Amino acid sequence: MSYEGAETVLIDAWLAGVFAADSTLTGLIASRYYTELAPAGATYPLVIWQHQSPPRDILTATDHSAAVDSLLLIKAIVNAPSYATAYPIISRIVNQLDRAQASISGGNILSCTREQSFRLTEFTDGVHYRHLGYLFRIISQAT
Amino acid sequence: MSGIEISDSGMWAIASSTIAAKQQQTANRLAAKLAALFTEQMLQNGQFDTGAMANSTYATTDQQSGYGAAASAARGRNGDVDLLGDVGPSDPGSASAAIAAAYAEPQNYGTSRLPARPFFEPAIEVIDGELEDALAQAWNELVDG
Repeated sequence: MSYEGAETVLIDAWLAGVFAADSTLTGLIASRYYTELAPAGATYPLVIWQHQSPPRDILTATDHSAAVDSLLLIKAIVNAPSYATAYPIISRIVNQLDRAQASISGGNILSCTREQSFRLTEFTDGVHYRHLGYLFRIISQAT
Repeated sequence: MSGIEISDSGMWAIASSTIAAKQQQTANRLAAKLAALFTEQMLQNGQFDTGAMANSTYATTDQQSGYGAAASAARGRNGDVDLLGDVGPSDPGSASAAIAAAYAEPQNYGTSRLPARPFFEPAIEVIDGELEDALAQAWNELVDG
């Protein structure tokens, strides 16, 4: 049986594993990837992923929930007045995640697909930030 | 002028103007519901300080936009609220839902300091799940007269 809480943690573990294993990404952001919010004082650039909608069970006749459908926003944030340094980060993330499948400890990522691009301009306390990313649809299954 | 549809159960000829009217009616209904869902989700998220953002959601049809009323309601809550421009009215056959408050985007997607509290995608996911049924219902109403 699958349940939503398990899948959200499974997705976190999968994303952290993918990012840590990719030398191109670690060259760009080291280990500065976080869920929901970066810690105070974090160095930029960095990557955030967050659930953009509550995960939904995918029901079957024989199981309460065969898998969970999640919509995540994965974005690179840079403290600069341009998207130039965010682009190679998010481009590499798309390269690693779009149409990916994986079996990891605790379950499976049945599919991960890019759905929609995202960009946001922010100016906070005199500092420019640029957010560049994609919405990803991830179907996962805890085992 | 008629639109002709051939299906397993027969051939139907229905005035395209009737189809267009039904399509518009369905789009209007879904857009109005989407705007209401934006507000509902904001309230569920606790995003209600002055109430300006929650009151700034609106729908548009091919004939009119709800922007004016939403902008007035938002300013009634906070006279200093920064509002985006009107997106409507929509193209024929379509309808839209939107949020006028400029700070809706960072609220929905988060910033470098603020965690996201999404209301946009959760509402769209609900409507997306109802779209197929709404279109089927509209078609059945056309066929059944």
